Amino acid sequence: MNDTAAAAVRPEDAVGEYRYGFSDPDRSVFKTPKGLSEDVVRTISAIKGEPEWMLELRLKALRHFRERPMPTWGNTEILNAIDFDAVTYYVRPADRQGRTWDEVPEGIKKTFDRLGIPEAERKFLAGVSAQYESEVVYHSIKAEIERQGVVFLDMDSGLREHGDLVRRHFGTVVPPNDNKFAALNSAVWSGGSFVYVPKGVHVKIPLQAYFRINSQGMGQFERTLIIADEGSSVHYIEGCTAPTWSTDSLHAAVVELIALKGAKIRYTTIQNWSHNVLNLVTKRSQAWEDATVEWVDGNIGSRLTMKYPAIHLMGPRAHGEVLSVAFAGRGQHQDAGAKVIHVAPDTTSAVTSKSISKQGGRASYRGMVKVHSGATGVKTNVRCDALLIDPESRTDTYPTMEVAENDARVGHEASVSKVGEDQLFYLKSRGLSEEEATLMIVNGFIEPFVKELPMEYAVELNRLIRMEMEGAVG
Amino acid sequence: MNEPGFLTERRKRAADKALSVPLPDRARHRFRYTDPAALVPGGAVTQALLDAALPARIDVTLPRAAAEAGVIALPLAQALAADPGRVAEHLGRIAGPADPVVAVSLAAFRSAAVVIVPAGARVTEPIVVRQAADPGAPDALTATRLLVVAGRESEASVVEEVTAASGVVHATAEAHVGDGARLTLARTATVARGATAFSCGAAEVGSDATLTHLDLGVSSGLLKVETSPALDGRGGRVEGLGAALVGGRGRADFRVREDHAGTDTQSRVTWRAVASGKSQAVFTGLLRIRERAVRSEGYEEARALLLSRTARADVIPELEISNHDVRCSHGAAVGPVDEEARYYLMTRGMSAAEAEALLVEGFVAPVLARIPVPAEAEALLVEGFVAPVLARIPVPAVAEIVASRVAAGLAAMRGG
Repeated sequence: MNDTAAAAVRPEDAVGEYRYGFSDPDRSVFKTPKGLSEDVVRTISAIKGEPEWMLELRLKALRHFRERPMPTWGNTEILNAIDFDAVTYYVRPADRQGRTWDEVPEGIKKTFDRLGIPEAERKFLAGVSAQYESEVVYHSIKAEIERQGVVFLDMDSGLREHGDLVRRHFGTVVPPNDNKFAALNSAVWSGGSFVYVPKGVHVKIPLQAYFRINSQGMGQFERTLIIADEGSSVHYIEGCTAPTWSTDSLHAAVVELIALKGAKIRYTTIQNWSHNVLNLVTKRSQAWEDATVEWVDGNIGSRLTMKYPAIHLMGPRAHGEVLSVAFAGRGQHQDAGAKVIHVAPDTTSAVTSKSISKQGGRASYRGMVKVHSGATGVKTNVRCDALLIDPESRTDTYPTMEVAENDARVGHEASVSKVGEDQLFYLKSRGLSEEEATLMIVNGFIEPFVKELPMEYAVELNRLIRMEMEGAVG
Repeated sequence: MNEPGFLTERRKRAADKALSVPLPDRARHRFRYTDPAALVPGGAVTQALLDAALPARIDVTLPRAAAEAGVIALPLAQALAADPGRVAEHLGRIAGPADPVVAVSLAAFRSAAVVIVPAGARVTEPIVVRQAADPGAPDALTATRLLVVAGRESEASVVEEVTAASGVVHATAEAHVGDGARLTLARTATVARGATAFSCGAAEVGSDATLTHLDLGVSSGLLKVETSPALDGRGGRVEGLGAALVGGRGRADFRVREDHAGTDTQSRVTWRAVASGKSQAVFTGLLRIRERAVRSEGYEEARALLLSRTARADVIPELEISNHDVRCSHGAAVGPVDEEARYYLMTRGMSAAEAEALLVEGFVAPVLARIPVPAEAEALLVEGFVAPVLARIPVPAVAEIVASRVAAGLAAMRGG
């Protein structure tokens, strides 16, 4: 196969409306056969040369996966139609990892070009951990961060180079038997990031990773573990985009965050999978004494996303925040939300969720706030706002509050509205077209989310929203 | 019992449903906190089939003015003689046939009361129906039923008071609110320790009709309350009110489902719970706006106050909106401050400063179990907390009855 084959066809001609919907010819070196079996799991582990304990964890997880029933909530129609035998569980794109930009294969660089990451921005990035198919192929860390003792590796390298640290924490936040898709991930995981920030170290520049699915009917099962040691802080950014294919692509990631005493982790995601991807992700964190965890979670793409970033407030005075935006367009169901579990006293949390539904899309907020017995002095507030652009669209809110301490202050507010006619009239009287006015109202609606993003992501998100809103009016 | 054919037929279909359809999944929020099997113990279904459910003691009070206006309020057997057509049209049609849990009581009920308000009749004094159930054995079932038919453009209020002293008690109410009618239906359920009660209310609300439904649950046993009005007509309105007073090891698990199917409809749900001891208060509300229900407005507000460290509250206010031409919102809080409560305290003779101090002590940091609050102050606080529910009852006479039940419930809660 050659690299010019993809370049010969203009991507926009090939795939129509989906801007990032091109794909390079399949250049993978190795693939497991379709379907899931003990052999497949053993093969994955053997290729990676993993220690025995990881193989055992994978095999145990495979049993859990087989035993667990499919969830009976969320979008059961789509979930029950998943054919696990039609999925390829492991694909390796290249024999070794690129360490410098020059070593990265040309075809993959081309992919990044098409993602629209400007040259200047690449240089600015602290490190790029780009997941191309199932394995991290390019990974560069700024010398400065390495000097601070920060570990920022793909998960496979993390396991090889920091085996003890990984063994101590892997699967402690999201156990392999947590849910069907976490079990699946634990059995076949590949790639993802491993981050360790030493005591007292503040990582000033966000660590970033780009993800990409590139093979028809192929799954992505990355696994990320971030440990922020006492008094440290780190901001990790995950953004992804994928080409359009005709069969559903299954994406079941697991992300575990551990913020030790006084540490702070912010995890930002802009999810823009193509509209055939099923994005069934388990993201959970622990915040110990005086620690802070923040999930900033944007869901723009995929056919179905079921994702509820969770924070377990384990130590006194820990603080958690979830800020999320979901955008559900034609044929999409964004079933997203947040879970905050207050285990320790004097813990506080805030959840802010914004969703936009248009052209028959469905956005659901599914959340949980739980105050355990013994967690005195808890304060938590949940705010959900939904915007419906047209009559065909749908929004749901399913917030659960379970409170077992009488001095807890638990608040929840939700609202559903449409684009106001008076707002539209005002903006149109100022010379804006209906489409521009609607876009402006949508941008205003999600502004609290956008302002939390690094500038380049805010720009990218605005571009995505503009694209998504095209043709939504009139 | 010599029953008319329509009822035998509806019972038979309900029994089939109860036997053939599996109980609802606990993954759904409706039964997240209460196992449906606890409401329909195996013995109870058998009983339903063997036609042997136990009757409740029914007592119907029809005010003279209502009788003069042509209102019928009678036990079922007499109602069938008085207005067979209307009873046949509605009884067992609105509540029961489609759901395996509710179907049990339709198949099994042995005592029922019927209230029929003729078209255009207007009565202010409430019609009171009391149903006292004491089935005895823990899995013995008593099932009662109340049918309320409010004719076109009529106006009436009905209070149903159910007591469950033992066993399993199913109290089902179904209401037809005709076009332009205004009906207030206040239901109270008092559940003793060791008893289980399932209080189910279903209503259909016609065009330009208004239904105020209130459920008060006083429980030291297991109480499940479900209320599901369907706003089918154009311009229907529902005021949904609920209050739970739960103590000991009791549980009060409320579900309210406002279903907007017609256009230009409005609903507003206000719910308060006070839980003491080791009790649990639950609210799962669902505000559903269907695809064609344009210009709908919905509001849902649920608040819980925990009086002890061992009490718990679980609140799930859900929205399912399939139409963009709506205005919907909800709020929920556990352990909140309430401006209406402050106002209430002031109407009870406290100065603004005293009320403020009490609110700060009791609500801003509602640590009643640990900060010693005088018993009278706590009583005022709790009454103030529930006051917004009482304040929304449109019929003063009904509000009076409910307030006295609230006071009795609170006294019982503090007593044990």
